[in-house]
Amino acid sequence: MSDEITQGQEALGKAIEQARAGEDKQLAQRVRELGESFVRLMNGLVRLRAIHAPDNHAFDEPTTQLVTTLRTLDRLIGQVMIVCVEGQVYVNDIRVRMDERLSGPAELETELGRHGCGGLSFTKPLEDSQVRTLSGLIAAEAPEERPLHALNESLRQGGLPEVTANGRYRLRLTGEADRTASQVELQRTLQRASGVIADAWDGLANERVPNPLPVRKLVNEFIDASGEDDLLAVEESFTTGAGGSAFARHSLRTTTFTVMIGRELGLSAAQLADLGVAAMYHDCGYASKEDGFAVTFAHHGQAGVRALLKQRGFHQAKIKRLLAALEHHRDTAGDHARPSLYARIIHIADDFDNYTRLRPQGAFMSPAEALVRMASAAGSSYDPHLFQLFVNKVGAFPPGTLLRLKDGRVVISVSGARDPARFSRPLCRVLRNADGRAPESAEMVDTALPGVLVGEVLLQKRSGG
Amino acid sequence: MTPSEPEPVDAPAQEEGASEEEEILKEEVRLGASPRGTAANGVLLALSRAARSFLLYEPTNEAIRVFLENLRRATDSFLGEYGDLDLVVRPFELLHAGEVVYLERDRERSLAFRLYRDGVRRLVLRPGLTWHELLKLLEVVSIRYVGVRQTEDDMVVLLWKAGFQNLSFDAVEGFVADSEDDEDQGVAAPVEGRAIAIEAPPDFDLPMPTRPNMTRVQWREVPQPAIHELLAEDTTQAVPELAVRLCEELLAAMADPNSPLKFLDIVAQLNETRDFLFAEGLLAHSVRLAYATASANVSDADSDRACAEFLQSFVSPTALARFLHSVSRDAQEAPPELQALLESMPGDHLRTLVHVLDDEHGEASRRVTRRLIEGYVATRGDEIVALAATAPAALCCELLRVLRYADLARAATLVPRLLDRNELELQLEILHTLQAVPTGPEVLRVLLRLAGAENEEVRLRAIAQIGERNAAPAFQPLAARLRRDAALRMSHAEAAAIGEALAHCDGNAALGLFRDFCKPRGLLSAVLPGQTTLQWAAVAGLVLLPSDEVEPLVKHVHERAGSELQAHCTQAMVRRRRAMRAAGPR
Repeated sequence: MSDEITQGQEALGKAIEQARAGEDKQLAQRVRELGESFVRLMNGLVRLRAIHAPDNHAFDEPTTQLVTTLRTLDRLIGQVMIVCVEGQVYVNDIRVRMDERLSGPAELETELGRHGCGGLSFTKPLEDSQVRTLSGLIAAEAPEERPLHALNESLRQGGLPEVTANGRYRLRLTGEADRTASQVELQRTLQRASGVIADAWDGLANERVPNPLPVRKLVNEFIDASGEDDLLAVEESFTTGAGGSAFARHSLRTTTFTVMIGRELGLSAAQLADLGVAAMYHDCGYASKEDGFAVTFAHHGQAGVRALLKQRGFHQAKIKRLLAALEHHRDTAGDHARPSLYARIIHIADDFDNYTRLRPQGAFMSPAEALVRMASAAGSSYDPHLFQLFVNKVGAFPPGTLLRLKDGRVVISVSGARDPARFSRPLCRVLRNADGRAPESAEMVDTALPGVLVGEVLLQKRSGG
Repeated sequence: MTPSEPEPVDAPAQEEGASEEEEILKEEVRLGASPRGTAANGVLLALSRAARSFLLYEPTNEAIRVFLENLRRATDSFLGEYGDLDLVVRPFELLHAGEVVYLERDRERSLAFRLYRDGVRRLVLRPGLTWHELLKLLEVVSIRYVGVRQTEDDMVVLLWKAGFQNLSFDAVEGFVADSEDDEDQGVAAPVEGRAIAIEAPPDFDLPMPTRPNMTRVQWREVPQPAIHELLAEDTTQAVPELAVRLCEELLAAMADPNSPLKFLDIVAQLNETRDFLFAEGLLAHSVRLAYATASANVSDADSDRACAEFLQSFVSPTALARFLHSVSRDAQEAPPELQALLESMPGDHLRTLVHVLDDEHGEASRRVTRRLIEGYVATRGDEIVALAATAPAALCCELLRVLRYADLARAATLVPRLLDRNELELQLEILHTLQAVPTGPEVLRVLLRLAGAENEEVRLRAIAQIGERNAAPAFQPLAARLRRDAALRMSHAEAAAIGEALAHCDGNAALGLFRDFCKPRGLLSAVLPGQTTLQWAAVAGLVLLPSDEVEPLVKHVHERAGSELQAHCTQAMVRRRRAMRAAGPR
């Protein structure tokens, strides 16, 4: 037993030391301080409104301070989201510590709560006059009917388009979601993802310190919500243009395939999470500018690394993320160091999406064609084993492949390779019957069934996306 | 709720008064209306205390061990007797089976608050919980107690990553709208689908490589060895290599004048990597990082300064101490990488090494440091002598040892400068050094000086060395000392040592001297104080002499002596006869 205790002691010491090395205390501490300042000042301003007229000089100092606080927060973390929930205040993901003797979260929660409001979002810093308007609106009486709606209307009419009043929040527990509705869960996660990505990219573009925690939490949800088949089944949603801009879809789709390869490889959930976050950030260099111009392809890896390096603290996930950003276009073989594992995985996912995603002029090629062309570079450009794992999962006709069956029906693959025997026999959805008409209701066809034969692969030619 | 359990036997005692240690380790309220509740409370107090102890102690401290033992004992006991420890987490309380089993309202101390604040709402420990899992739980909690707010992982993520088999938890997944009515939400909450304001160029990631060839794809199993090899790239063991590679890539990227990366962009990453490698004792990786940085293309003055500062950190006292801690226990030499590092990095490493030697406690690390300093003796020996002369005793001993191995003659020049110092360890080190120095007037002077030192051990060793050198010039001073100090409570051991040394230094003179001691002339001489001591010395010395007078003289003393001296005479004669038998017939 004593040996185990000693070993445990050493392991704990090392873990804590490593955790300390991964800390960026300065940023978190600063945000907490500013968050506390915001709460205190806002409470103070609301209370003043009960006593003084809005043009009273008593408002001057706290207003100026609140303007400064918001400006500083914006510079540090970008768009600011103040959430009051269960007696606590969060500034983005960071909980604000308040001295209970002073005006605290409860007071702010109460004031906002009168309007059915649980928090405020600021897309930009405010001016002096805007802060005065905001505090007045919060201090004002709330109508009984739809108070939150009324507050948002007042904000818009009052010259505060940068501020959104959000509904009340509660902290949702794990296990609350209905896991049998995993498709819905995954769809919600994907919809939420574009917002998370938008925030992350916006921060990087404005040279703020990256905060991967929201991205990590998103990826964790993604991994938990997605299963063997869910992941591919929602591939279709990307083709309909859901989930934000082309770049957002690319990030998400690349992450989807990356996580899929990682799962096939046998990475643990924690490793999948690190991998997924790396995939989310792999092209973040494009959020930067070089001398006011868009970053070139040649430099986007380094630009991404430069942005990500602003995050302080030694953390193995960060190391892997940075290497992935630098190396994800590098060939697996050549007269250079072999790219890192994450970079090699993302390379496959990234290229596959680039070859197959919808562009204004249509996709470059069908998923099935992309696969066989990429296969010719397995061993030189792509890690052959990782590529084979990818092939084994997506099958000969990856989801999204348009096929014409021998009976004339036009179908789209939705399943990938369900097992080795059905490697080239995907489950498909019928788009057009043999007579060229769309089916009246959603219709599936299993190409593994006798008599159902694939005739040819079609290339999508759609506009939009 | 009343405290009902006695203090854990091994817990450090708590006293009145509020020292920082006591404040941090002060136990929360002991709770438990039922035996089960009390036992649960015991587990949680042990967990909380163990986690808080990292605020006070170094992880290797013995106190931490005690807390770990308590935690293990309490947890095993509860799970073994009651099964699942199912805890509901409230802001300042933990409940088990409806009973409050933990309560602490001080946010800085409260385990419940830490869990609640980080989003944990339920925690279940099951009977199969292994020691490794319990440690993992403690690790997660401790990290949050020491105030690490990680931008990569919060407690929920850490618990999730741990992948517990016998521990589960419910945690908040984030904020959700409380109301289902969309109208009440005003505009969509910001966390829901929002377009990226920053958009990549429309041709991002283009041009794509052309792939003119096609290869048919089929399902093929990937061999398990290949899978294992791939997975091995993502283990913790691979992190140092990845970290150094990243730094090498970043430094190489800077070679492109059009690269957006500058040295000041990457220096924080270099520093963090260096600190990680130092903490892990990875000398080879550290040296690689240093070399890569030294070879980097650094273009401007600020970067140049930052680069020099970074490189200097590899040969700082802290860095060297880290490297030295990583050497094996039986290492005799410094690792080649460390030597190469010292040779290639600018700076005065001698002073740094001396500084490290002063601080180091480990035997291996001190030994290796001495070896490194030996390398400087040839060129900076005088400086080392000067440093040693004014150094504290422990460091002086170390430097004397360095000189002894590297340049004995120079060590001998240092010794006289240290004679006025009374530190025991230093005097013993001087004697050790002198053993290898050939006999000469200066050496004898030092030995005779030390033969009169305050500490008896020093005196005995000095006297023994005098004897070993058969130094005739030392006879008279030593004899005078014996006569002077015999009446001053000289120990028998010291008397014997002097007697033997006198015999070695000058046998003939010694015989005459001993004769006088054994058969003093005049009645008064026989009863003077110290006479017994003189005879003790004489007997010890006589038995080493070849003369036929020896036995009669010893017998003479024996017949007139007290029991102690008689026994000494007998033992001395036994030794003599054994030695004579061993020497064989003349």
